[in-house]
Amino acid sequence: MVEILSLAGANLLSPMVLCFVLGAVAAAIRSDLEIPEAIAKGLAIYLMLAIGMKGGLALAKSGADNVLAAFMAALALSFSLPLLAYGALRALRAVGPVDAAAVAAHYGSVSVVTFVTAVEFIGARGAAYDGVLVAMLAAMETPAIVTGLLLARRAIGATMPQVPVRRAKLLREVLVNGSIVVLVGGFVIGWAAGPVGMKKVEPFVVDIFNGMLCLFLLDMGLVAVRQLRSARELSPRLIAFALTLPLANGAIGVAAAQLLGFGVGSTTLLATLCASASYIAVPAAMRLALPQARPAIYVTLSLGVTFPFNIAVGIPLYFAVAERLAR
Amino acid sequence: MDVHRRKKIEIVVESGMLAEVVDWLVGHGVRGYTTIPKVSGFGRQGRRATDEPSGVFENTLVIAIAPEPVARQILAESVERLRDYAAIVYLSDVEVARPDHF
Repeated sequence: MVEILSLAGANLLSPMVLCFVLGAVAAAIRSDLEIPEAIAKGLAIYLMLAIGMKGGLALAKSGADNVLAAFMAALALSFSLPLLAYGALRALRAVGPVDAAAVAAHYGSVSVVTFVTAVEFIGARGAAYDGVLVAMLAAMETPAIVTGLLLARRAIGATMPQVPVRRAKLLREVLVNGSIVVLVGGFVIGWAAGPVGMKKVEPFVVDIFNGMLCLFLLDMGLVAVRQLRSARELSPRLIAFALTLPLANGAIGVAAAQLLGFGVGSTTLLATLCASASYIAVPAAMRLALPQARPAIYVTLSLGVTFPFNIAVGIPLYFAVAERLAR
Repeated sequence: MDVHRRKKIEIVVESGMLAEVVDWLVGHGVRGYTTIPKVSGFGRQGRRATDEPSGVFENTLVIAIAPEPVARQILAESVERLRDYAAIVYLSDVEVARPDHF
């Protein structure tokens, strides 16, 4: 326990997390600090391209022996994790079935930035990870949306919107959204270029990565707190849900990692993927496919509560558990 | 100069639904429209803003001009079509110089 707390303390003093805190404080004191949207979007593209390349390179180095099992596990986790979230929300009587289904989809899916922060965290502690984790990240984004929509359909049946949004548009929205394309593309590039080719972009992909992450997390701190401040619909029950579900999902991630025979770094990353909640891809899909659900609830929970929790407390905790299990 | 009476249709809609909305207008024979992206404000759905990463709280303004019967039909259909989305639809009288454009 002491060890976990000291690890969490050390994490809170990392420049990336401190930049996140700076953004959060700036928003809390109502500073006019703002990262221009185009820059934030550019940073996001950079981070996803770089993390994709790093993953592809790691895969090229380690070879691909357990890739298929890991990929299937990722799909299965993303499909099934929303069931726990939905059950918990309904048991808490926190929200109605439609909002519960929408929130559940977010918690089954993943947050790329949380994953990137975890990669930096384990890297700083010298833990390696399998490249396949980046493929798992991509695989986990979408299935949870399907489960969430099925849960909602079961709950409201015939009162789905009379004018359904074209399925093709929704599919495009989730399968080929920009972040997935750049992430998977970077992964393939990193794998194809291999160690020799990737040497050429090392200063870009490796050396400046943490500085870019600082800037991005500064913006995320601003965004998360502003989202939290504008929220009028959060009950103590919902906040409790958003703080405890990551722990349950993280534990499921750790268990899955044990079954897959992952090391400390990969276990930490899979726990982080399971514990994280989407706040970009899933909200956009839910608005189109399930407009009755309230974004003020699902975005605020995933972006305003769970995301900061994972950045500050969750990641070091999952790492400590992974380390303990490896002894 | 002759002026011709038309209806201006203004639709403030959540940005994710923009493609659906313009397809629907064009399906009614509307021959052109103007969009103003990233508009923000406040309404029944709470604060609508452009500073959040998923864009689900962001609105777009669509402006089109059409003959009165078409505009009224669009207004009538909007009730059901945009029922669960963030949307405001309203008509106003305008005068145009080139009737064949609208």
